[in-house]
Amino acid sequence: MKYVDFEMEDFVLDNSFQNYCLGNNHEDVVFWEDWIKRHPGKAEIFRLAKEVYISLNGNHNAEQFNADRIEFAKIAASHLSETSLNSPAEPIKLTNHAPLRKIALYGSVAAAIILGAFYFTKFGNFISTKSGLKHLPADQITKVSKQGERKSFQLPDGSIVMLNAESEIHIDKNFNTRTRELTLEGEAYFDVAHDASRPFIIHTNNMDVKVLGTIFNVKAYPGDKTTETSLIKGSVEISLHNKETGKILLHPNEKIVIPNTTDHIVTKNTDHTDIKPNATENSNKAEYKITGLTYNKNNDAITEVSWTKNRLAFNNCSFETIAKDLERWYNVKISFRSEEVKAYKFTATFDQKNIERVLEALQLSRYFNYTITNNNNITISE
Amino acid sequence: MLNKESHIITWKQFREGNKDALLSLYNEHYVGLMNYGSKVIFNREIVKDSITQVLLRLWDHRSALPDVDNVRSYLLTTLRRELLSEIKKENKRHTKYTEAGQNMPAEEKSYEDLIIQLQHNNELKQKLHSALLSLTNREKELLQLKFFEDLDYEEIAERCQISKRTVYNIIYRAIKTLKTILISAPRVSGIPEKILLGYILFILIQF
Repeated sequence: MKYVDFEMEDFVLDNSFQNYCLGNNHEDVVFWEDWIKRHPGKAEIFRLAKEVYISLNGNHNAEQFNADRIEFAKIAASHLSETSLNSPAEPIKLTNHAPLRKIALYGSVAAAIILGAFYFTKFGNFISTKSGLKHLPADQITKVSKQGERKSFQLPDGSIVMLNAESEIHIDKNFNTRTRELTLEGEAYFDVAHDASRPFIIHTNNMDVKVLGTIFNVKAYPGDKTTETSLIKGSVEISLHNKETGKILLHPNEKIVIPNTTDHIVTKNTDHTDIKPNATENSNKAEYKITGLTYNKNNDAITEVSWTKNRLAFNNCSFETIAKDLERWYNVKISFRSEEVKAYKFTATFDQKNIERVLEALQLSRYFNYTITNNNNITISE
Repeated sequence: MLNKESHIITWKQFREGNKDALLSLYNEHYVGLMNYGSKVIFNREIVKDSITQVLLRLWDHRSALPDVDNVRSYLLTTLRRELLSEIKKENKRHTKYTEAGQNMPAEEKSYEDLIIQLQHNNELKQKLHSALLSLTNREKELLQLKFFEDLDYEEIAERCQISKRTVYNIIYRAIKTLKTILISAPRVSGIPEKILLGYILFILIQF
């Protein structure tokens, strides 16, 4: 029977049509997308057939499947490179990576889809307790998010954590016995369950944050110039690792910013331009700044935690700083050819766009050029 | 090529350390594993993470893996074990709380319950519910095998000891029944056309 004679039932039963609905066979997807364009008269039963098939298969559609597959490909790619490093007996051939990398690249283009899916995941019901895919010492649980990835999970005490891109949390095995302590490298948003008897302490390279029950955001990327804690609700107590300062109490709607000193900086995938040894010599003295949080004029959203709502927001930030966030968010590498462009300041909010849309939007405000290579390397020039 | 045959080829490549086969394995078994997992524990995020965990662990032990005839059932068994230990860990952790064991269903949900729950569109949910009521058990069983467990017609025929043609016909009939119910729901208000026509005729006759 020819496809033009197909009834709705015939579509549902057709394997190639099922592959198209699920998006798991490229040829079928291309074929059916083209076919339905050429047969607009069939649009209604085509749509119904798709709806019926997806209802019957447990609501798996192409969008969700692709997002999951990309996520899997990313995790697999990093798992493969980790295990290869651990077993030198099996050298990695770069060419073998090519298909994975292709999917990873496709992944960043489809970031919008992943973000969309993420947005609809109520983070309360994601009670994962897995110790990640790394092989770790038994006395710690580690949560890792890769570049371009955000994760949310619940801690054993009921507190909720959202982990921004390229961040790591190490949870002590004694967590929730006498205290609740964890170590953070990167950025995370915490909604801490109230429990006065067990103080909740977050250790970062340059500051510790102690809380009883509250909502706040800690940004402590080793490669960044500063470490910040922004308080949304409740109160937190900050102790800087610098001994000269006592404890600092933060009030709601305040944020504390401290410079990252060189001796604490772990040089992990940062570009050298970011760390200037001479410039930070003075910062060994207790030096911190408490400011108010910044609000987006249009929707009252707080800039510091906009990432938890899938938005990237910047308030009068240098392009250099923005580039750091973009790298983590979109899983790309950005380098500057021009010091002048690097210093451009932008105030902007982006939601769920791909990196090129973001750069194009920035270009509307200030003039610059950019090129993207296959490996997701972006070069920005005048 | 039959699903089963391509599964065996992928499995062989996977055991030999072919990285593409790792992704193929995910693609080939995604629907089957996700749905099977949802029956064990009704939380897709946990199921999805467990599938990743299982596949990567199998990859790490690929040289020690057996040569299996039925790749799907091998994977299902492995996933089940993973999910059960996940539930156990979870319950141990939450014994203090009242919601303990909330992830552990007393018994596995039926296919009808699952696809109705997984449907987000409320209108469709209702319609699906009434539509499924009018199917025979055999029809529902085959719909489940074909679409939810993602088996192909040959495998279903083999499993149910009927011909491939019969499998096809039963599913065809089931979908026809579903279609009638799914599209028959009244779109406009109450009065069916026939009665309306009758009224108009009646009024005309009066004149």
